Amino acid sequence: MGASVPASHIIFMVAAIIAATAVGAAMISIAFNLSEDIVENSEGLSEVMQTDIKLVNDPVAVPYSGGQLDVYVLNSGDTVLDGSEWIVLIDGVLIEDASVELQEESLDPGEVGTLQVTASITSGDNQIKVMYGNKADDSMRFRI
Amino acid sequence: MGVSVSVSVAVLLTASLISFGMVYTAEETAQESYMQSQESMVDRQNNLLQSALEINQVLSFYDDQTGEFEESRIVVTNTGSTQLSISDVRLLINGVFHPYAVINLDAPNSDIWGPGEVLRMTLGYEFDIDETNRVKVIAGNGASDLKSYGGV
Repeated sequence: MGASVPASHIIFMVAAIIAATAVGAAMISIAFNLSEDIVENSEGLSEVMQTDIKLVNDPVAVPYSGGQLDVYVLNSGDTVLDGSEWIVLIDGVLIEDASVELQEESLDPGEVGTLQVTASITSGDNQIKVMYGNKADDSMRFRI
Repeated sequence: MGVSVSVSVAVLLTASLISFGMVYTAEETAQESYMQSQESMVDRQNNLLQSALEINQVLSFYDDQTGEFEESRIVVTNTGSTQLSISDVRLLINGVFHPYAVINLDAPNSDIWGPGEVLRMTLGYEFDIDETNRVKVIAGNGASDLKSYGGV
C-alpha cells in the first residue's frame, strides 16, 4: 500500500506532463500555421498592390483584322508580368485561354506589350476587360 | 502533485511563448511588407496624378524643290510636375505603334524628360492633311495625350 501512492503520483505526473506537452505542441502547430497564413496573405496583398495594368489603345482605332484583336497593355505596376494569367472578357463574355496570347515573354514595369485576342467581335461599340490573374485589371470601351 | 503542476505549467508557458513569438514575428513581417507595398502603390498613383503631357504640334516636312516627303515631327511637352523616362515613351498613330527617333530639346543627351521640357519625335510616317490621323503619345506610367489631325 505504501509503495502504491508514489507510483500513482508518478503516473499522474507523467500523464500531466504528457498532456501539457501535447497541448503545447498543438499550440505551437496552430501558431505555426497561423503565422504561415499571415505571411502568405500579406504576400498576396503586397503582390496585388504592386501589380497594375493599363490598356493604352486608341479606343477608336484598335487594330482588329482576321478575327484578331491587338490589345496594348502597359505594365504600370512595380512587378514583372509574365505570359500566363491573362484573362480577357469582351462584352462580358470570357475569351478562352487558348485565344489570348501575350506576344512578349514578359513585361517589365513601364513596358507595353501586345495581347493578341482571337475573337469574333461585332462592329460598333464594344467593351473589353483585361485581368492579370486576380491582381490587376483594366477595361476600355472601344469602337470597331 | 506539486511537481507535475509546475512542470506542466512550465511546458505550457514555454509553448505559449514560442507560439506568441512565431505569430508576432509573422505579423511584424506581414505588416512591414504591407506598408511597403502600400507606400509604393500610393507613390505610383501620386506620380500618375501629377503626370501629364501635351502634343503641341504634328507636322510633315517636304523637300522645297522636289516636294517629296522627308519626315514628320511631333512635338510633345511634359506638362505635369513629375519627370518621365524618354525610353518608356510610346507613339501610336491611328491605333498602331510606330517607331521614331526622339530628342529632348532641353537636354539632348538625357533620358529624363523633366517637367516643362519638350520632346521632338521624328518619324517616317506622312501625315496627309486630307486624312484624319490620330496621334497618341503614352508615357511609361500611363500618362498620355491623344490628338486628331487633318481630315474634314
